[in-house]
Amino acid sequence: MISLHGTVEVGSFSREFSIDVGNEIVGMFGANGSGKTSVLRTIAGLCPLGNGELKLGDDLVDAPAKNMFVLPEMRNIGMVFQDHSLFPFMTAVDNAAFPLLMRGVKRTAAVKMAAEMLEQFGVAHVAQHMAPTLSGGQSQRVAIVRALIGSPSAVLLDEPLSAIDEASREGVRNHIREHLVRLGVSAIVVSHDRAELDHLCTRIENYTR
Amino acid sequence: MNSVSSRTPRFVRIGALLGVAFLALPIVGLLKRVAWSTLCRQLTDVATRDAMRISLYASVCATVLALVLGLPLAWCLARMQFSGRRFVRALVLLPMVLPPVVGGVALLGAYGKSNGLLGGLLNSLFGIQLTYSLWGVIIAETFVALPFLVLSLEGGLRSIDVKYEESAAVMGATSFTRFMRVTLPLLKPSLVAGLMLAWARALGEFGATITFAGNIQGRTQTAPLAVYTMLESNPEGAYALSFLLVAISVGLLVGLRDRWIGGSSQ
Amino acid sequence: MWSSTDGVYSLTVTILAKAKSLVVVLPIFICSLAAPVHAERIEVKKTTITVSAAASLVNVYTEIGKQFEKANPSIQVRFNFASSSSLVSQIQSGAPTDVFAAADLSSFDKLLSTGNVVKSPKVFARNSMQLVVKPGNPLNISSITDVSKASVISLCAKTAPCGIYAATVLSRYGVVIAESKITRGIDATATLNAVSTGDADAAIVYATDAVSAKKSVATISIPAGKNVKAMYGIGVIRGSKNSKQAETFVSYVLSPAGQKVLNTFGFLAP
Repeated sequence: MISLHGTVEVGSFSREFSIDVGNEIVGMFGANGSGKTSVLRTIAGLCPLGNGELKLGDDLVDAPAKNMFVLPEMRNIGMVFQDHSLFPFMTAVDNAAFPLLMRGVKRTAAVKMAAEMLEQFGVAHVAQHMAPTLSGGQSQRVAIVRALIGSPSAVLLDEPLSAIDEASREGVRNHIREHLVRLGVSAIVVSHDRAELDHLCTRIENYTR
Repeated sequence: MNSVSSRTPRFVRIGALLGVAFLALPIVGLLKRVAWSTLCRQLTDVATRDAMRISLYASVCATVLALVLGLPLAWCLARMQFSGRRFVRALVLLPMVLPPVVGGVALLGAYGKSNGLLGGLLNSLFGIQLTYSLWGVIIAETFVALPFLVLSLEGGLRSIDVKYEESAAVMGATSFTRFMRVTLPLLKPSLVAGLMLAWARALGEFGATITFAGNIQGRTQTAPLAVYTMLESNPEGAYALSFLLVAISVGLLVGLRDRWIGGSSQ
Repeated sequence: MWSSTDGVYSLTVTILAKAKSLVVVLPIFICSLAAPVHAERIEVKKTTITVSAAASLVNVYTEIGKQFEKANPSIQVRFNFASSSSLVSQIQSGAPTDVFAAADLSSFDKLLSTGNVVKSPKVFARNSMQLVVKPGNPLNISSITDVSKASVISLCAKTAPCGIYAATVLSRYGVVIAESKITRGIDATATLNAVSTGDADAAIVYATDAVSAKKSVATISIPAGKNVKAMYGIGVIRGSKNSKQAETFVSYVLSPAGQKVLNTFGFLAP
């Protein structure tokens, strides 16, 4: 459950925004630069709300009026960033295993789980490669694995398929959908590609300026 | 092959050669002066052994102390907004522009037993004397080495893209974990370069050391002080010790070559 | 007393008298203004000589230099102060020096053997050693015999003249100080500074340096019987490009004028 009703403020950008996401995959469609990423960053806790309220599940995580703000590391969110943001000093599998390590899973078990999931997304063969050496498509898949692996309570995906080649897109999309459904979580997908959202999401919100 | 960048102009090449010659000639000249037949005997001389022992121990301690004091300082300068920032920055740079002897005199004013601001107190309350002791050497060396480390770390911290720390936070890493697992690895090139510069500066310090910690053989006479002292009384020993210092420096630079230039270059 | 007319008359006479002197003075004044301009055109050529001198001579030689330059406007003196032993090394390595003034005579022996000087030096002054401690003598040191009360003692380098003199004094008292308590200054000035501005408890320095340190140290004199006679020598360096001017400087130091300055700073006559 994600429930946001308030003002999203990032730097000089400011916009009233409302969204409620249940156990579903909601797509946010809009042109680039319209502030969709800012909404995701606010939900993740990287930027506080200007005013209003943000709830994750039953918990209030951001309410400026009540002086309440829960740090991002406490929110249990999985996120695929627009530029992937994989740690450049780690291998693909170490990157993917990171959320598990943060949750206290022992290293060997975490790496094993990460390797298995990388296999599902077709990047097992680059598991030991350093992140900067991965191609755009490979690193995006690793980023997706990293976002889904930790049993998050909400998943935010920012242009998750932009670097995946045309032929593989459907496969990756199906995997994502499969995982999200299995996890049973709220998910928001941001994209400028309408067709992609149609295939992936259960509901689409138009987000235009 | 890019035809614009691959052809280095001749004047640039000549300039670079001149630079190399300028740096290499003194080293070659020094090597020429070393009496190789007596090298071992000179290097195992008591005074030389003492000087090397003191220098290595003190410079390493000074580097560690510089890190302990310098990392928080670099962090605040790189990431915090606070008034008086320019003053702090100037203070950090001060030991770099002060003539070392002046630095030594300033240290006396602060930590000297006789009338130092803090030193007098330490002496009257706890009987501690920092001057003319190994701790005095460490303090003097830390004083001159700290700016190098802070500048390097600050530059490194500024150049780190905050997005990595952000993604780590979203994945559940607390601020301490983020620092240890994300910031530090990203900081490694600047950290290693800074530590190396600081260590080299500490090792080579003369003016502040001799003014604050004195020149006591076996206790505070560091290698540079020993070389200077030996130049008159035992020139052969001075050249031998100088050669050893050059060899250590070169050895360290070669050994860390790959790591501190950053992973992607050869 | 004065009638108003008398006053006016006297005033007028005074003014006229002054005016007359002005008439005489003014042309002289104008001429004297012109004179320097004329003199500059004659162009007095200045020679610069380099004098390398022991650190303990820094104050007295700077003063002698000023007076020498006044007496010899065509010569400019540039000083290079350091410990006598490091100056010997410099000269032997070819440092351009015209005059060398050392705190002992054996420095000149070394230069004679390497051919940097061709004749024996002239002795221009004598000095002796003193023991200095912190003002107020907090450790109650009475003489060299109980100098080991000090935790850190400042001496010159073992091979520098003042270090050798100090060692002689110590051996005359039969006192041995552990090396771990001795901090060696790079020259006589630094050795004294260790007590006057640093944390050293005692130092054995030249009597002249102890005097010039004034209240920043307390002096404990060393009786003549156990003291040394430091003989300061001066000579022209072989290969000096300005040997005539160099000899002039040496003569000045040895002259009554130079000796007077040395006396003022506490040096004894040769």
